[in-house]
Amino acid sequence: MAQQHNSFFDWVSHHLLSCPFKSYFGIDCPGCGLQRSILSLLKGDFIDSFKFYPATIPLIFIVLFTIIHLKVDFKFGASLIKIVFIGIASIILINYIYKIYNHQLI
Amino acid sequence: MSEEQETPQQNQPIDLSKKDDAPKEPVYNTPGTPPPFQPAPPFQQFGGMAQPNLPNATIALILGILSIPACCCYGIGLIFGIIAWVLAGSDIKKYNLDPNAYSISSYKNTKAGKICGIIGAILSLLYIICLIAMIAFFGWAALRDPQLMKELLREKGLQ
Repeated sequence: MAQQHNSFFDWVSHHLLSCPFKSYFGIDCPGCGLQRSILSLLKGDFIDSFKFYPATIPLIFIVLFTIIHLKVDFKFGASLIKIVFIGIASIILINYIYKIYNHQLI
Repeated sequence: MSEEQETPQQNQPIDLSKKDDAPKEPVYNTPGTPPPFQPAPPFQQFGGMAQPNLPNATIALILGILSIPACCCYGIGLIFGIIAWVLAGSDIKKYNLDPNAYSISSYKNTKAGKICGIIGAILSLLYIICLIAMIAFFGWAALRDPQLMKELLREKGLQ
């Protein structure tokens, strides 16, 4: 059973969609690492997922919360979505600037 | 043009409610009668349960949120973000023309969708500007060839 899971993750990690930006220019784009991050999150490795792409966990949270909010209609829902969204945007920007500074782009 | 149209429409519901309130009060107290069609002022404070949602509120919110994950694939997020921005903008105009006709929660959702769309569009725009700047700075040939790119970066002292 465990072997099956491992082979499934191996298969997925060998068949990830390649980033067009990366394949053309050889430089990471602001979204690179998202798929690896989701994969490691599926394996249950939160720290690895954060290292690959720090915005994954809030992104998944906001998508799930939006689905629930559209069904249940929280009072604070719209403002919470706004705040989390601004947070995600700033996380992505800071992450990309950090990558440029530390020469992790190639 | 728009101001001339707005003023009579904004005045109408206020006048009607004032006129309608007095004669409808005894009718409203009798059991079994449905509430009046126009919502009374206290009902609006609780979010207008029976009011319909704005037509594009959900779509604007979903597109606005999707614009960030999509910004990394050829800048599709720019399209998503701008669509969300435009849809939400038209809905907000509709709500401002006639605030009693739509529910407040959908208005809030629309506003959130508009802000998400704006942020997503700005991020994708930054990505596209960054791409164009790199092509202008390094040249097309260098970007297609990773080896040459690394050498160029070393020359510039970036790595």
